[in-house]
Amino acid sequence: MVLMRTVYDVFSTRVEALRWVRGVIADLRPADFAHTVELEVHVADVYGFVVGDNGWYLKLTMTEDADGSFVLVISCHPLQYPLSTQGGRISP
Amino acid sequence: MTRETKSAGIAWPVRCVECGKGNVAPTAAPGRTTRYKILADLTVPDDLEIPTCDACGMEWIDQPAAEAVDAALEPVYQRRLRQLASAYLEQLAEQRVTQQRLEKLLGLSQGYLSKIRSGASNPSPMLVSALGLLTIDPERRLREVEESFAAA
Repeated sequence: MVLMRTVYDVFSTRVEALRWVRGVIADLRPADFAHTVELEVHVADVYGFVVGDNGWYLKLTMTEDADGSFVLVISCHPLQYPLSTQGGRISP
Repeated sequence: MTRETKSAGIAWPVRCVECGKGNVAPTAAPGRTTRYKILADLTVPDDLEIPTCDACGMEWIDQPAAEAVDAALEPVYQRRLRQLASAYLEQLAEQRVTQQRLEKLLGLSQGYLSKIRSGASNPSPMLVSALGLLTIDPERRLREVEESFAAA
């Protein structure tokens, strides 16, 4: 797994951020899915979920290197705007 | 094949998903700053290679990169904390606040603040924060702390 745009001020270190996001992805449910977006050369899935009292935004896709495919987390940060997911509307 | 965790890292270069134009590969560069722990703008060592897109500049952090960045930033972070603590202690000394009084009020062992000033010990971020707060009207704040402990 690779992180791109992640709010590092929420986390103490890069390793902690990776560990946290990996746990989030493992716990994602179908109800967390919001929509699909088209990027320059990929499509990415957007999810919303709640941690404590805070809504979070997660955008990820799969991409490849020479050895195969891997998960690329394009964005992971607290929600800035309300987000509609399959399970309902999530607020910042 | 899908790998849940690529502990060995990515086989660079990889086409950038962000811009679709550049390639991402480990790159060393001067002038980079980043947040690490409580400090917002630590200087990243010039020779530290971070996977970066050669077109849009987006950084990709996989497990090896995360470990390398954290390992490189930790000594920079500790050095900055020591610098901050020393600067605050100097300000407090200029206002006639003795290290012994500070050590007693902050629950530190005698001589600990001298070790920080000499670089022999690393201060915690909480201690640096406390010292920073005490530099603002130190006599009044120290008296308040002493009074709150006396009333406890």
